[in-house]
Amino acid sequence: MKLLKPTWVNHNGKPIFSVDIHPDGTKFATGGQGQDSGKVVIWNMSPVLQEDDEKDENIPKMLCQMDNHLACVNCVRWSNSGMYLASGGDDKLIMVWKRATYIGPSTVFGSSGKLANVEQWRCVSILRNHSGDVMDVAWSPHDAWLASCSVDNTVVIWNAVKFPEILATLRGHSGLVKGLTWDPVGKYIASQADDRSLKVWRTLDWQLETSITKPFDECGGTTHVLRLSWSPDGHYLVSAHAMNNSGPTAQIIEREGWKTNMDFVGHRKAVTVVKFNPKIFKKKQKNGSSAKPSCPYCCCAVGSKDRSLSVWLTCLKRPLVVIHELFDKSIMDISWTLNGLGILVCSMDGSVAFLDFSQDELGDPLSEEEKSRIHQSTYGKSLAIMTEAQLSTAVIENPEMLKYQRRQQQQQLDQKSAATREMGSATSVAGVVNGESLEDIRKNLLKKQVETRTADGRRRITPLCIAQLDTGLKEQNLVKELRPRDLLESSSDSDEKVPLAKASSLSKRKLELEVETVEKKKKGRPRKDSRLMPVSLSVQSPAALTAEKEAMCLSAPALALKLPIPSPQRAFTLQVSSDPSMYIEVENEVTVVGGVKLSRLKCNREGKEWETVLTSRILTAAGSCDVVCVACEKRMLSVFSTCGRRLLSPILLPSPISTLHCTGSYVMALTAAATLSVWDVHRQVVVVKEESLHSILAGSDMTVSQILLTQHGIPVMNLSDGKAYCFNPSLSTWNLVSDKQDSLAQCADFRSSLPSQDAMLCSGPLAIIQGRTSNSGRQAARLFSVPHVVQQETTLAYLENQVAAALTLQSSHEYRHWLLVYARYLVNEGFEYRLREICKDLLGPVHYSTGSQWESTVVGLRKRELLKELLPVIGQNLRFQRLFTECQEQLDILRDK
Amino acid sequence: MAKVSVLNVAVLENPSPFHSPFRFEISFECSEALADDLEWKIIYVGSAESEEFDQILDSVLVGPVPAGRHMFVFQADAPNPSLIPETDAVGVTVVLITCTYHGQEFIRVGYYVNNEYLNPELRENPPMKPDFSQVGPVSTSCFPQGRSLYLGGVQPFKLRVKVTS
Repeated sequence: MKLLKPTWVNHNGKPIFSVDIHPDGTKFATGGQGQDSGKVVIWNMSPVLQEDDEKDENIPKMLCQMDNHLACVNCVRWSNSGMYLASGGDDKLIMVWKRATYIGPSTVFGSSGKLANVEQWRCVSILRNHSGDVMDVAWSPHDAWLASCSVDNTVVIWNAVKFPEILATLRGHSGLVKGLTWDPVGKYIASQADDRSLKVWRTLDWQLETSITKPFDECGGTTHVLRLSWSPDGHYLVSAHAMNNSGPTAQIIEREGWKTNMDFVGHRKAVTVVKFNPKIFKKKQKNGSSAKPSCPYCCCAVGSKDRSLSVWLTCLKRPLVVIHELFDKSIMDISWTLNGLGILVCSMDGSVAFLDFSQDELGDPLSEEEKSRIHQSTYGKSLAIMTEAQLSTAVIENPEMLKYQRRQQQQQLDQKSAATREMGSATSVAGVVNGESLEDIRKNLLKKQVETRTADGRRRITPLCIAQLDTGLKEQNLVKELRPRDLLESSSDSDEKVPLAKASSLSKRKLELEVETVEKKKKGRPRKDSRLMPVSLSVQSPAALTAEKEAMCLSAPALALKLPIPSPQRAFTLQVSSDPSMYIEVENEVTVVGGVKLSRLKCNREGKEWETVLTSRILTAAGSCDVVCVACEKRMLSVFSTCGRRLLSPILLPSPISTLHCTGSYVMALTAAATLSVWDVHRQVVVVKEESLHSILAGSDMTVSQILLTQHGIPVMNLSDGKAYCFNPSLSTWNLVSDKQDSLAQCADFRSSLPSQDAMLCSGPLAIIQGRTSNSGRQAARLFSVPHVVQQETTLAYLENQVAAALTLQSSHEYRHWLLVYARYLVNEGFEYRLREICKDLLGPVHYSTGSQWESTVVGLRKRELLKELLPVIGQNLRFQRLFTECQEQLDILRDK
Repeated sequence: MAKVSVLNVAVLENPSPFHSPFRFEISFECSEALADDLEWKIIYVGSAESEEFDQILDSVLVGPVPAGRHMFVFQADAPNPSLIPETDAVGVTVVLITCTYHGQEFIRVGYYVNNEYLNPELRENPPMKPDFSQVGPVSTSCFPQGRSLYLGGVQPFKLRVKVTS
């Protein structure tokens, strides 16, 4: 365990009454006393977690400060989705905060300091009902309700979907209510009050389930708060301040019959706060020891007026750790990180402490699924488990989500699935007026602002709107306007600045797997054979040799493959492109100058012609809009510009040319010895250096049926057996990008995830290589009774192959296409983990942090733009509304930066 | 909830001579479109003793105000020296910026104004009749109050920021 007291987390010495860590773990909020008002501060978490970040002055510590509360803030709580922050204070108000999507940081108005708010949080609702100080607030497990309790002896349940609607006022306490906790499965809410009672209320009818008084009979005096907590498995409720034999305790109340047989003893003064770790743990399995299935257990932190903190595991009789004298005054609040390994503790003395545990100390946390399973086995239905049927009644947490859902329904009615993409992600757009920065606006504001006179002669100023609010219809229009531009940007990007061959380890792995499976099913060639095949087996692949066997193969090593070489012709013409019309004419040995026969190369481009002469016969020629190149006898290769200027001295090839290709400024030469080279003649660099085709041609009677050079200089070989490999220059590997006999392609069924008809015709190198695989295969596969699970798996595998292949080929257009199809499939089929991983990668780190390896672009596409395109797709499945909200918010944050 | 709240008030050209106009750049936020204009006023407090000497330097209507963040510059002429009691001419006084909606005041931002003679001699022995041409630079500092329009009412006004000049 590590203990840290970040001194920079303070309210200028004023008490901090509450602390809560944001569900995504990147920030936390504190609430307490401000200068002469209440104060809520949102802090960056990374400086707490990492020392480097703490020292880095570029990393903000304070993200936002809100002093809107008129009096001391007693409680701050993030909603489970992380979208809202609720704060309650002595001003009898509860304020609900939301990230505002504005430009630029603002200062805290009226504060003498120059501290700028890095994030903008705006109060979206003020909830008034309590007639006394609000002591605690709590969001229900699924954010549908917000509960608040007050010194007016009541608990109020607010409709979190429709603030400020009140669903129920729970009356029954006869003293100040100072703590609240929801049952993790959403069946109960418990409150503890100064009236020496703890009451459990049903959420079904908001009536009292039970009132527990016995453990509190001896309680004398008062504590500022009584923050009780429910264990994550739902079995136990632990109270704050209780007494047992005149000793202060935290009473454990069993859900089963509300029995009060156990308590946490040891604190010398009243317990103010109890907080369960959100995770359920199981014993760490040690290597070698017999794996005895141990009972899962919970972990609980207890803070007291005696200024000490104790952490308990429910499987141990004694506390895991007790820290005395952690603060100068009473502990006021505790918050666990979502991973369950850290806690923030705040105190009346105005400081905060952070404790960091290791998994060895606490145990292995159960996954959310295991947790749900426990809930389900114990309580039958859990809110955390949502079946399709239940989803229909799920509460929509985000207005944007609601918009998508509605839109989707509309579209289903209209049978217009294509329209989905058009609408794009409806995030609000922060406007910089006419592209000017705020600074520019300010300079000229006085001159620019419109002043008129009203009828009675008074001056009237039209204020300059510097940011629109994300409400109303305006936003939708804005979004519509923006969409095409976004698309344009991304497509133009893809054409221009593409980083050279960005390797994807993922694709490599996938492809290896694919190769294996493909080989397995290959007829007539047992797997063993292919595995054990040494290089010597690949000697001489006879079919690779054609009629020109004899021609100049002397230089090639005896064991090498041989590819056909073109025979010298008297003359030939080659069409390079039709638009612009460009063709090359070659005439060999046309003129004789001083006994030397010269060959002529002519090039005609849109009527403009140039010609040049070479001293040896031209075997083959190739051209693109940027270069023209010819291979001659004596293994010479010459490269010319489009105007006929020689760009390089002749290149001597290692062996005679077999095939020559040009795309853009890339020249590819495949030699008879089956080595491949690609050069970028403009930048004068080698992309692929004499790479042997052994690995892809070896040991089989295959020939190269088609060769392709992508516009990014990636060579692709289509082989006669239907497989296609591309060479990945950064990894120096041949990657399988297509296989006509791929059983995955035949079983995969993702038609439901295809965007629309026109998008099917996504063109690019991948489409060229794979050809237009007809749907017949897929449909045939559907006729067989393939179990859905198998189909799901094959479809996933196929789509992942496609995404990886597009990535390897650096075909941004196709990458985008397949990524969207893949994401749509994941959304439709409900694969959360993979979807989340994609989103996470596309989003990257929100706050700058040292040591981040994240690249902001992929094959020339901006990852975050891609994520914006994914958002509406994600929004179609209500199951992913958390993911949707998270991504959208973080994108907003990033845009604000 | 607060429909209108002031985000920032920046005092432009501060400090400046006594006779130069006051210029405030005000940014505010409005959570929903307002049906009518906001009325902003700049009030110069001539004397701490009595409101009688308050001078309304200017008042403007600001609108239309759709939901969002807005900004404008409010400029008003310097106070009329003849209306300021001679005893209060030099020293620290207050300029108030107020905003009303439908006649109800909900924002009051105060600024301390320090009127001083430039000339050290005059500072030591101020003339009986104040010479405003010699006064300056006037520096202002902020003490904001009740910045938000709550549907509940006006916050009480009290001074809280110490004088800095």
